[in-house]
Amino acid sequence: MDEHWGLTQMVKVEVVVNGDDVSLISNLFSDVGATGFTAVPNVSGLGHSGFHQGRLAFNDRSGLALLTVVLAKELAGSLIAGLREHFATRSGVMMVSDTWVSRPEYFQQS
Amino acid sequence: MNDTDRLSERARLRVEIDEAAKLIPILWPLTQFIAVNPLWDLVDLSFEDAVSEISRWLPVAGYPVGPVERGTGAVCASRDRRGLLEPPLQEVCEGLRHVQRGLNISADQVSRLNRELSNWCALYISGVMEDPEQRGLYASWREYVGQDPSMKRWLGRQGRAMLGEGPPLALDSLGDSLRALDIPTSGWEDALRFGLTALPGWSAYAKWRTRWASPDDASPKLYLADLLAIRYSVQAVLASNLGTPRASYSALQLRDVHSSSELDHRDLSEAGSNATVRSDRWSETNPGDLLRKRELRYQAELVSKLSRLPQAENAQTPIAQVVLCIDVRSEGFRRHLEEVGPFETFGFAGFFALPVRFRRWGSTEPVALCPVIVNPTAEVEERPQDDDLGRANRMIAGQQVLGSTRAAFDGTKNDVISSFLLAEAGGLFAAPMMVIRTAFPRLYGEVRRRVTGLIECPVEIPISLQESDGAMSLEERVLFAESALRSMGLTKNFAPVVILCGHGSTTENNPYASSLDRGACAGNRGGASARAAVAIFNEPSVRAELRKRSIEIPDETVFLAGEHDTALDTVKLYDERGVDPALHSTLERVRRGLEEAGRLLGQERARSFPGYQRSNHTLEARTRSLDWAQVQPEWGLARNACFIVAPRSMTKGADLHNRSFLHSYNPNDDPDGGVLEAILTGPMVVGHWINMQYYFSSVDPQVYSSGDKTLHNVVGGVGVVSGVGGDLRLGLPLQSIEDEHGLYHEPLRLLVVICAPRDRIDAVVGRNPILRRLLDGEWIFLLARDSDDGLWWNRERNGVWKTWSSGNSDGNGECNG
Repeated sequence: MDEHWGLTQMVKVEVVVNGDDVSLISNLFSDVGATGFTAVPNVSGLGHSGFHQGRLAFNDRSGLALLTVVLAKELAGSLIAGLREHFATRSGVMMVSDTWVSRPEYFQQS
Repeated sequence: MNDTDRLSERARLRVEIDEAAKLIPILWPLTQFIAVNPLWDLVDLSFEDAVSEISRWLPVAGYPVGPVERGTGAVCASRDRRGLLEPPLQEVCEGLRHVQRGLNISADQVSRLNRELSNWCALYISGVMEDPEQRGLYASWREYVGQDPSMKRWLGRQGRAMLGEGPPLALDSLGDSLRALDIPTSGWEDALRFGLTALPGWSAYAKWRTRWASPDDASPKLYLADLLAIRYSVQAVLASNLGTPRASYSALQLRDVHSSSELDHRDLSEAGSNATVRSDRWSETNPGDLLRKRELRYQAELVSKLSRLPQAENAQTPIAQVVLCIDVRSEGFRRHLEEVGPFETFGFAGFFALPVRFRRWGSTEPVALCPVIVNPTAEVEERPQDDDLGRANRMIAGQQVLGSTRAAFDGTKNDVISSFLLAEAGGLFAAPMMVIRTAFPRLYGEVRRRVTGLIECPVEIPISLQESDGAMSLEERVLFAESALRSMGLTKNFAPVVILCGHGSTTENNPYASSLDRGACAGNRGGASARAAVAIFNEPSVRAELRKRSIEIPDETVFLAGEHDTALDTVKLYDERGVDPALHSTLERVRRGLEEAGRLLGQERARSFPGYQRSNHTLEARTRSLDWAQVQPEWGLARNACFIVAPRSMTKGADLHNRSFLHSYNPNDDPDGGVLEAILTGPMVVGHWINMQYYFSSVDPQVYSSGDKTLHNVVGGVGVVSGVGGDLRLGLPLQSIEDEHGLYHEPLRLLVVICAPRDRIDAVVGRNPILRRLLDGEWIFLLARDSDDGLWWNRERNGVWKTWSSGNSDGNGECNG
């Protein structure tokens, strides 16, 4: 892994998916060995299929959610393969970028 | 295969399983039965396309057929119960048949595998197949199958041993098996569809466990990947044993699937075995057109009825305002209550917009009290006051005595040896009790209630709002109170008594009891939601904050919680102890009104029951609920057809025959459409699920109904099978949708009627894809009464509005461009 400023380079994958798909995506993260993730429910915005309202008062499944996961580069390819399969048939976006973390052991299974 | 490839394959399989499972409905455990649109994951498609897609995999017709008049204006499909065995036509389920041929597995082998897999699932769910470390079905099965004698008979000693030697993870095993079967990766998804649709019931439970249950849910870990891994492990061993050419899947993909029609797919799966496919009758009339015609006829009748209502007069000041759930069963109660006295009624989602978990005193497990599409955000609990602590603890002790006795009795009854001893020892007592219970159900119910009361010494424990971990803060409580009152349109002119009324249903010997309780409370009874909401509305600090927000609840107004028992037609009021004595006479009038409304509703409902006899109609409904042999204790939400979002003035005085979800809405108080949006994306979606559950249980009972109740056996508390085993049954029992004359439920897609300006409705629909999909896909239909011009407007699937008139003589309405 590259070392910069004492930090360790890893890969950050951010996805915006339907609230209904959050459990699937979080299972996917576990399958490839991610140790955790961050979820922000009820995000709003404009996309390919029109405007998406943010928080709905009585429905947590029909909105959009933003999930962020950080993992080692050698695991990222597997996750991206699964996510590409997912986005082949469902709406949402995936953004992949390099990131640096201070405690890499937190992001890898022992 | 290296580690990276293995991980990539896991990820890919995980997604493909989820995609394949779109064909499968979701089956909640029986104790929290939720009515759900079985095609919910296909709502990206139009209704017509979704039906077409599902019918490639399951014997689903998707439309009612056969005009049979029943009652006023209802046209329903007729179905002889034996008619469920009509042979299927060969041109349906070509996807299923196609994959089976590709897999090179015979129909007999599929049937045998379905039987074995169902048995393993049942053994796992009921705890016989042990899983002390909670690793899931596949891991447990892997250890169990090595000792399974039926596998030795089928696959031989060596074949059976191979089953237990697969990889420890279900996804890895599944990938290995699919490769061993020579299925090209392009065909995996179809193979997964085949595997799931072969046992749609167990797959539906696994889908709930995989996609909907909380990861830390205590229910058995039976996942979609487990089911598929086991199925294809066995198939791989079968193929290896027989030395047959493996799958010729890629070759078959190029063939015309319609050419392979010689298979009798009655043997394909238990789900497919009872197909009722009626395409021979379809040729006469397009079933979609026929359905739409029926829906428009219902719409015309409804509009005609609502248009004839007199303008609302200034009613006398109500002695009580009663807020009931939007459930269709509340419509009749509201109508009668308004008849018998100066009551004002409102309809609101039965969890009162309070998404909480509720912890009963003495219980360690909180229960979610909100629709399954809402995540509970806080917790409320019962907590006795100091002077009640002793009595509360005595009640818990009594409940423990009753629970232990019941557990001991059930354990003895279910044990192979002790069940005989129980019959010998307890027969003298049990036999006369059984006779009394059968011949005099109301007497038995009363005796049991008194005995239980003596042991339990029930005491009413108040809901505590004390702030603690997970409890709501004052700010959250104020926010809830304001939003709930504004949503229900109750912000001024408060009556001396305001009752928030949840609902539940008292029935005996009924595995589907929770299906008659409240969908808005995840299949639980609704009294606790009402009690929690009332505790907040009565809190002085909350009222003080509401005053700052222009909602002035008079000090003398008291909120009370109630629970409408939809089987007994009674309303139980809670927490009356603190009511000001000055209100006692008013409260007595309220109680009498509620009782009278219940009596009238009971009479009305009794007339709809099979075997109704005029001589005993007063007690008919109540007796049914206590009769342990009664398979139709109440009709639940049968015949539901529309969802009305409007002020009560638009519907007051109309007899809507318990077919309408009624949600109060005042368009003048909602200029930005926020309240309308909350109603349409929350309660309306739940109403749509209920509507589609009844619809598909009615038109495709062989797949989406759980069949005849009298044949049901409960498996592990999570579902039922018909007879001694096989697949879990989906949907509602036949007794919930039909009587001796045929269908009681009229299968129509939900008509949503909204009283609001059209541009506001457009704005709400425009920013919510789920509403666009439901409307443009014709899963629901929208009729608006513009609050500005008073005209009726139909929204077409392309978003264009056309005025609607219902005037012509045959009751059919028409659109004007």
